[in-house]
Amino acid sequence: MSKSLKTTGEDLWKNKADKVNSELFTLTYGSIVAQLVRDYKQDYTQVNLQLEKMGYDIGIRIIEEFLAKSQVGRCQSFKETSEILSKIAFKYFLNITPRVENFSTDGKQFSLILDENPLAEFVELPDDEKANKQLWYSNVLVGVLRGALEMVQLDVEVAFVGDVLRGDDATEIRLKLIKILKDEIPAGED
Amino acid sequence: MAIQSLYIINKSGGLIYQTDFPLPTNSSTSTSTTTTTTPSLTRLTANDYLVLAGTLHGVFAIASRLTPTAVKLTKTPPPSSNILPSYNNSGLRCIETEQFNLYIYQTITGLKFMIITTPTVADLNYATDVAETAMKSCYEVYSDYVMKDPFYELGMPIRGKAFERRLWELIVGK
Repeated sequence: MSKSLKTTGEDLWKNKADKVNSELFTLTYGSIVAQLVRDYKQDYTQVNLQLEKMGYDIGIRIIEEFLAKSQVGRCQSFKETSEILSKIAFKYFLNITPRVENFSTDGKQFSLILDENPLAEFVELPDDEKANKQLWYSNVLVGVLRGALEMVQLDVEVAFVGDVLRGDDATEIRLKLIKILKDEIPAGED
Repeated sequence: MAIQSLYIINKSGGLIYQTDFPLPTNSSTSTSTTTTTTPSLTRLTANDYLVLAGTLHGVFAIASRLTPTAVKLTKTPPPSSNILPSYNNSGLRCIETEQFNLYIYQTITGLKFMIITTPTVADLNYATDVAETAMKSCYEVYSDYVMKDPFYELGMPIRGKAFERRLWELIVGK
């Protein structure tokens, strides 16, 4: 690619992305999480699970828009995947560019550090110990990443390992490549 | 070169969408760009379309195994920025006949777009680029109007009216 990924991401954000009022987005997400917490009677493990499922369903669809609009092709390495996620995908959909850090030596694990998180703009976790220990408020992102990557034949384990909402130093999502689903790669792409 | 027909085939070879477009009438007497609403192709039965799509899916897979390494395309996309590079180094991309041309574009999620056009006199590489650009636009419409329909189930036939409408606007014009 002749242009840097960063400019590609910015161009896409400027020219291709449909925008929506960010408060509407943040508040809608907030009310979904709050409703889930009520529905599952403060069972935060269940809430995490449900958010992940919702995210997964979003991810397996959103990938098509991403591919159609970004013209990004197949990644040659997991390293490239990390850069594209951060500089193009997160930029295009959320207008943020998470930092890619802590790549493991085998190149199969890395972290996305979200310095800003549009989902959690006005959020303070409920004042009970349980919420602070168990709830991953932005867990929908985990599902989106897993779903989208699965559609491009990457089996990836995704999880939050830190959230500033809980008092951690950083909001961090850890991605671990389990395997490339070789059998699923469409014929003609070798 | 006019697009006569569009097929969308899911990753398991099932036909999820098929439509025929009318050919634009270029009579110089009428100033308005009215098009006939009758499609330019004879309709087959629904089952025949399914068989056709399935066969093509299979032929595509076979062709990808048969492509000699020497003629495989290079990975680098063409310099022209507007054209979505195809990632199929092998396999079927285009069939040229006296009656029609057929082009296939496969996305990296395994979805296939196939269009049938009237035969072209233009250079085949150029025609393929044009066809791929058209299919890329269809892919964008698909990603917006099919993927974002909350009641659409992945891999199932597309019945959405909005998708159809946008597609016609794109291919036939308003």
